[in-house]
Amino acid sequence: MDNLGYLFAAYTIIWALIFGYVFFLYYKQRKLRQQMDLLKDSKGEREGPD
Amino acid sequence: MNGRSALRHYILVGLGFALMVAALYMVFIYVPTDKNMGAVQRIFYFHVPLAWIAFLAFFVVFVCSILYLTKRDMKWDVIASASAEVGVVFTSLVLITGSIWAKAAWGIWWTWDARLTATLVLWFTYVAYLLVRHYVAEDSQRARLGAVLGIVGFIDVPIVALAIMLWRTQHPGALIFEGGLVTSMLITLLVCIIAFTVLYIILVVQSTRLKNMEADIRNIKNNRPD
Amino acid sequence: MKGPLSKVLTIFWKDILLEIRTKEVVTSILVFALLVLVIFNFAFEPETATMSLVAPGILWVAFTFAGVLGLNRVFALERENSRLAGLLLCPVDHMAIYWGKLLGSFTFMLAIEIVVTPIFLVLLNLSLFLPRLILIIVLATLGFTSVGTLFSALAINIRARDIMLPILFLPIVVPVIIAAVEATAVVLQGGPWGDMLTWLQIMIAFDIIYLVVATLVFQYVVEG
Repeated sequence: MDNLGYLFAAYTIIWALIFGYVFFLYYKQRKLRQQMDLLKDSKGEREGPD
Repeated sequence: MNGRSALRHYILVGLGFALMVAALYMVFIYVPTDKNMGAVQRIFYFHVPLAWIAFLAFFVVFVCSILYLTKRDMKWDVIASASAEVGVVFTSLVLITGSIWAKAAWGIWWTWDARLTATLVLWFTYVAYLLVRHYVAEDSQRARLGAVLGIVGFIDVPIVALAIMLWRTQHPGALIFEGGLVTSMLITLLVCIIAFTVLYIILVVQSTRLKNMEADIRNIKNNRPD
Repeated sequence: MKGPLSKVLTIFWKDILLEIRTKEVVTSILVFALLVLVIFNFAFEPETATMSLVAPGILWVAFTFAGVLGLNRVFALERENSRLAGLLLCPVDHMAIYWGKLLGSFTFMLAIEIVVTPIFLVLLNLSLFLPRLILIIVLATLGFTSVGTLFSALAINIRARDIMLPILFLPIVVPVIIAAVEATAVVLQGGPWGDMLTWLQIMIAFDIIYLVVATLVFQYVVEG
C-alpha cells in the first residue's frame, strides 16, 4: 500500500523534529560547559585585578 | 542536580518512554484500520495530540507571562520561554503531519481547512514571540516584553479560530479533517494525548534547566569584578 | 478626570501638529498605498469578473501594508531620543501615552484611507457611494491601531525592529483582515446588512478586547 509510505514519513518527521530539539538542547549544554570551563580557568589564573 | 531530583527525572523519562510504547501499540496494533482512508489515517493519532499539547504549551506561556508580570520572578519567564519553544516545535509538527495526511488522503499538500489555517496563524504568532526574545539582549527586558507578547498572543487564539471558522463557512470547499470516532479510536487518542503530555513536560523541564544554567552563568560573568 | 484626558490630547495634538508641518508620514505612506493598488492591478487582469472578487482583498492588503509602514513611525521620535523618559511620570501617564499615540496613529491611517478608498473605487469602476464602507474602515483601523500602537512601542526595544513589527503585527490582526475583507465584499456586491453583521461583530469584539488589553499591558512595555 503506497499510503504506508506517507504514514512512515509522518512519524519519521515527528521523531526527527523532537530529537532535533533534544539535540539542540544538548548543543546548548555543550556551549554552557565550555563557558563554565572558561570561567573556571580564568578564576584559577586570577591573582588580582587584570 | 541532587540525587532525589535525579531520581524524579529518571522516573519521568521512564514513564514517558513507557507511555510512548503504549501509544505506539495502541496506534499500530490495537486500533482497527479506518475504512475510508486506510492505514494513513493513523497519522491522526499523533496529529491531534500534538495540536492539543501545542495549545496547552501556549496556555502555559500565557499563564507564566501573567505570573512573571505580577511577581517578577525570573523562573516564570524561563518556563514560558521553554514552553513556547516546545510549543513551536509541536505546532510545526501539526502543520507537517497535517500536510502529509492531506497529501495521502486527498492528493494535495495543503488544504485551507479551518483548523490547519488557524494552526498556521498560531505558528506565526509564537515564532514572532521567539524572534522578539532572540532580539532582546537584556534579561529582565526580554522577560517583560516576552510576557506582554505571551498574553497578547494567546488572547488572539480564540478570535483567530472563530474568524477563520466563519471565513471557511463563507468559502466552503476545503477538504476537512473529520470523521466519526469509534470508542477504540477514542481510547487510542486518549493514550496518545497522555503520552505526548508527558513528553511535553520532559522537554520543558529539560529546556528550563538549561535556561536556568545559562542565566546562572550570565550572572556569574556579570558579577565578576573586572 | 481632566488631567489624563488633557495629557492624551496633548500627545495627540503634538503628533498631529508635527505631521501637518512636515507632512512626511502621510504623503509617503499615501503614495505607497496607491502604488500597492496599482501593482495589484497589474497582477490581475483588470475589468474582469475576477477583479470584482479580489477587489476587497486588494484594498485591505494595501491598507494593511501601508498601516504597518505607518506604525513603524508611531514612536519614531521617541525612538531617536532613545527613551520615553520625558513622558513617563506616573501610571496614569502610561495609559495617556497609549491613548494619545493611538488617537494619532488612528487619525493618520484614517486620513490615508479616506484618500485611497475613492481612488480605489474609481480604478475599479465601482460605485462611489458606499457609506457602509466607512463603518468597516473605522472598525478595522481601530483594530489595527490598537494592536499596532502597543507593538510599535514594544519594537523600540528590539533590534531589527523594522522587520519585526510586521512579523509581530500581522498574525495578531488576521481576524481583522478577514472580517474587513469579507464585509467589504458584501458592500461592494450590494449585499444586505445581515450578511455583514457577523464580520462587524468580530471587528467590534476585537477592538474592544484589544483596546482593553493594550491599555492594561502598555505600562509593562514602556517601563524600565
